Amino acid sequence: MSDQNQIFVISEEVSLIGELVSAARQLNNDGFSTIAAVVIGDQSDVQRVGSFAVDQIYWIEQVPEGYLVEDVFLTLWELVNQHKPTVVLIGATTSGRLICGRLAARLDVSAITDVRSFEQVKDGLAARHMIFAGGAERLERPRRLPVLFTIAKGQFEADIVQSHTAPQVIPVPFRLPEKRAILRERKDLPPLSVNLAEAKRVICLGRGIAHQEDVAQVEQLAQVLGAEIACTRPLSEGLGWLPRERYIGISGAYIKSDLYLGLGVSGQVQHTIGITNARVVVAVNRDPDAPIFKQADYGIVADLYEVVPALIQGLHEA
Amino acid sequence: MNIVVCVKIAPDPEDLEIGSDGSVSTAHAEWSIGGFDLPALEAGVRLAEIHGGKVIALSAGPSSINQSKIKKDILSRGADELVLVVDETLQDASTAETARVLAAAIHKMEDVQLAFFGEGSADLYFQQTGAQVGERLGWLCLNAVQDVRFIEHGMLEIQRTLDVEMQVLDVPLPAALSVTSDICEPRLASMRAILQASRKPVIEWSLADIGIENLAASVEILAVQAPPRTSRKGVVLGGSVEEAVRSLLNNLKKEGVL
Repeated sequence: MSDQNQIFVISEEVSLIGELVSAARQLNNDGFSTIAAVVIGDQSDVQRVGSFAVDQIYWIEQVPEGYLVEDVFLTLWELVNQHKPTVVLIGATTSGRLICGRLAARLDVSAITDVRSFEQVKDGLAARHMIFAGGAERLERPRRLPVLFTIAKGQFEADIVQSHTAPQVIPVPFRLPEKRAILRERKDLPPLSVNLAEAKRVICLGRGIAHQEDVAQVEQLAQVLGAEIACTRPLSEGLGWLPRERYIGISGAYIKSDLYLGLGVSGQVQHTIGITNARVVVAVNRDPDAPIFKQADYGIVADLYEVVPALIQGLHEA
Repeated sequence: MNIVVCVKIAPDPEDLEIGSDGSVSTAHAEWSIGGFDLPALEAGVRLAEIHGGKVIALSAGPSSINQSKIKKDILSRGADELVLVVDETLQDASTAETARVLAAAIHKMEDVQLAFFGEGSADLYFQQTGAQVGERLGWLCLNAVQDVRFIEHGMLEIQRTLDVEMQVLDVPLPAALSVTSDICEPRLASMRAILQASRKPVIEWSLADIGIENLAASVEILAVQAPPRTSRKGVVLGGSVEEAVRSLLNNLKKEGVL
């Protein structure tokens, strides 16, 4: 049997469910569907999700000790199989992507990941997402049900709905998976040093920085300017000079700061996609043909090693 | 035991041409192995160097993937064989079609219990293929794998890095693993490896060869467009460095961002 049309929202990160519910509500503007959230967590998590005006909560209280959160897959698969939702929205985390892929394979449908917006088209629902490392956007319409999407963080705003009837909470027992990896050790990673998305001013380092020691010089400028330090992907993932959370671009941070100052950044699209929402973009690069100058409000064609001390001095005098 | 490494051969995003109307063309783009797939290939080759077995590189796509330069590139990086599944319908394959084809191809291979995938493809970056292929094969699937080694026959130890934690896991085979781009540094092919590459086998399969008769598209592509660009002033500040910096600071003050 099939319930009324259901939209499922699933995330092991309870903090993402609000955004997912907002996305679901946008898809349900005709009100024909009910919205069901799958919550993995305790009573307070259920309460929190309840405040987002969902109709049902499937509550999985706990993943047993020694299991991975992705081992919830079999439980989810049975829920999906039983209720046959028309749309499943999944939070775009590492675990979410894995769960999404496995669901898609079992359902023989495609998943569209990191969706940034939806569009109602003649034959149904289409989703927009980035391709070519941010160089293009593609609008796609899934042809088979259910439709599986992962939703990029920060694209939809969570709304707390005041006068909403309390959701129906349905406890769902955790089903032990058929096969699994054995967890030997688990270590918390150091907390993230920065949230670039919230920074007011950002100084970004590119390949024009010659040595890791030179980062210290730029830190001095950052202090005077009250800016956070960021970088392009190669400085973080290739060279390891700066932690992952400090790189801007397609698989990294998207900033919306008042000021972006790129030092030795060439301006490849994988990076500049992350600065489209910065208010004022400044570029310093020795190469007058660097693509970044076309996407900057102010550019200085010069050696950054001369510009940085001059900026520090100029800011001190001001 | 042999190891499969799935690689995406795709137009290089750097070669994208954007028209004034926002249209996007890959007509003049060079096709190559995705940058996220090279570390996966290297990880497979390193494991096989220690434990034996063949490394079979596998790719699926339209006939544009069947270029001798690309084939040589893959084989000079340590793969022992290359299998290409070529069909024009794979030009715009979405994740379900790609996963179905790769899973069917792996199913046809002998003595394979481990498949590596990159973090995502260079062109589409759905980050889905490893999980979808693994699930279709009925294998254990994991992503974000940052380190991998054999601990005993049929059992791997892997390290996995998620957003907030690191995990060490024992993984029984068969398994499909998507690796991070920093799992290892891809090698540069030596001259000897390049010369050897031309003698290594390349096997071409059609969809029929892997038992697929009809590959219906699960997704319709409605539009591809350059994302809207924020319009920028594009002012280049001239003069000496001191003059340019002074002018910059004045402008930033006027903009109210200092």
